[in-house]
Amino acid sequence: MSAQPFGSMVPRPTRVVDRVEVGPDLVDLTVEPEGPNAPPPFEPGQFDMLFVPGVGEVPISVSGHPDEPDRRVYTVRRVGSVTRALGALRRGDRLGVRGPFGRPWPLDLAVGKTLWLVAGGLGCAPIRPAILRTLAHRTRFRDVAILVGARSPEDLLYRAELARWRARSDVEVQATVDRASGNWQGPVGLVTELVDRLRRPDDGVIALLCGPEAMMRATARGLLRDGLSASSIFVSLERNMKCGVGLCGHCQLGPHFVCKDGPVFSIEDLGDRFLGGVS
Amino acid sequence: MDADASVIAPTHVSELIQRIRRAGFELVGPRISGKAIAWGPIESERDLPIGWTETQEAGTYRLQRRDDDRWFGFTVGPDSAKRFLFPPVEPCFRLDPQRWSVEFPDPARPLALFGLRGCDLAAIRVQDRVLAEGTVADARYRERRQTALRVAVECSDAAATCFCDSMGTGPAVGGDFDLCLTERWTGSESTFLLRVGTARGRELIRDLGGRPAQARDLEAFRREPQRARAHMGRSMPPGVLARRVPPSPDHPRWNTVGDRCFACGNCTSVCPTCFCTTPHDETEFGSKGIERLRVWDSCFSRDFSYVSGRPQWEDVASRYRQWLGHKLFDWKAQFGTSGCVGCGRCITWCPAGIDLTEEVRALAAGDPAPAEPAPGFGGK
Repeated sequence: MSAQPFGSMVPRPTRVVDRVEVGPDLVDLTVEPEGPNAPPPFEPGQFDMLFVPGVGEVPISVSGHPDEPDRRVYTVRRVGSVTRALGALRRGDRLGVRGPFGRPWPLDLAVGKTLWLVAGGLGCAPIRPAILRTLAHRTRFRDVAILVGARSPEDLLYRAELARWRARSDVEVQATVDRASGNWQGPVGLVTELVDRLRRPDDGVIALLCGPEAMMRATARGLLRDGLSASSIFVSLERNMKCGVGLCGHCQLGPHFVCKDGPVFSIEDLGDRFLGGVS
Repeated sequence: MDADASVIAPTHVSELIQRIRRAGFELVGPRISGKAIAWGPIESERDLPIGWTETQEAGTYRLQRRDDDRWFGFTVGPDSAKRFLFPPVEPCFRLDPQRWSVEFPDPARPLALFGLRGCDLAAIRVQDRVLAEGTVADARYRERRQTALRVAVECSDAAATCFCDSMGTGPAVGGDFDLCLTERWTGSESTFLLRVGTARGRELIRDLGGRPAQARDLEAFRREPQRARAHMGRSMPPGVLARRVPPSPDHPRWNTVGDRCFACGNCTSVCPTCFCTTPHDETEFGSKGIERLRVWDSCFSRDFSYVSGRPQWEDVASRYRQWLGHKLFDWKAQFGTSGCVGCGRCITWCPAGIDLTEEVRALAAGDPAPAEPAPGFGGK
């Protein structure tokens, strides 16, 4: 019998090596493993359980570069006790990490096809590793579009990076906001409207959607109406993951355990229950 | 004559109990605790509720004297093997956050589960699927399960809340035991049929005494579970066993039952298959050591599905829909088996007297089963 019966439950030690305030109540934490017991490499779309000793544990998507597995980046919104404790960490502080968990974005399916990456709000964080990998291997895909929505220009995540991506000629990058402010010159409206305006290629499209469920539902319904198949539209779901391995039961959605069957699902996997908003 | 079955007397059962204890097992079984037959340590037959039974109904449990001295003349109480194989509070590890060193608890003594009914054995099979046979197993459950001795008892009586017959899990016990007892009352004392299921069981009863069972013994003892079947108080509506798609979330019955349900979680505590837990960290004062515990949780608690500032299942109706939809339907897609074994505990121990067989019957009315498999559901 295993000497470590709860191995998957034990956090590994990491240190915070960088910490940047990236928006209202939003912080980017970069951590590196401490000692030889590093968390295994992650795939874009997977999440880790972050453990603040004495406070608790929360699931957070890995938003860093998938080709730098030992530098884990997390974009954390301070909403509860654990995320507030995460937000209060300073460079050099210790953080426990379990993971990675879950099924990643299916970028392999998009090879040779047109790829749309659509994010709303904090949904930029779980999809960022997929964008970074796509741009690092750009020639594998046909047309690539990155569409981002936020409440206001101040709420847009990774603004400097968006500008760098937009400067590339081999990718279409668009951002929209619900409410313009300052010197915002871009479109105002929902990200679904940007999706509606994309040119439909004749060959296959893979669409990766990440954001509030209402936004993903509306976008998925629009894409289905336009003739995309349910098996080519993917969403990433957020649930109350506690164990990460399908044993604790908290993250269930119908027949699925979001932590291990997801968090990335095709609309075909989820069926009408998701499109109808039944949780 | 059946080489693996013998007819034994009460003294032989007493001796069996002592042999199990001497073999080093931690022996647990049914005993009177407060005003119910719960499970606890068994040191001798004097701990068993000999001559007792109970009356059960939706929201009702009453302990009663029998007019005979049957050893096992009762059915199931609030406990099941779950509380021992998958304890309510399980220490996982202790972490020293300064040195980041981790200690794991020592393995426990092997358990002997004495008095498991057909539904209890079925529930263990379900928990095996969930906890021991998935991609990631609960190693502590698997360890206890692999070493546990299972002594089954066939039911001679059934409670009004029992429906194992319609679930195909009892009252007759076919297998999955080390040893199995069936009891007959002869007018002045009990006599038992003892069946052997494993080599370990055979070793325990070597030279125990009694006599080999004859064909007419087997026939006589077979009437005991038949008697229980005849008295079974409830049944699962036909069709539920095979169906994989939960009733429509728009069915008005969810709100009716949601209004009655207190969301107390009794049903999930007494259910022998409910497996939801929450990790809980206890920080030791002073030493700064942190102990991680895994504690039973319930999908009826408001915090259970909390995400991004609110519960996914906000109203009680949606929590009941999750529980029943999971237990009877979605469980099949997840684990290839129903999550319900027909023990009736959730009916008896519900303070509102909610009866899932009645609820699913009402939910089936006016909600014809969709053609299966429904798109996007039911398959992995």
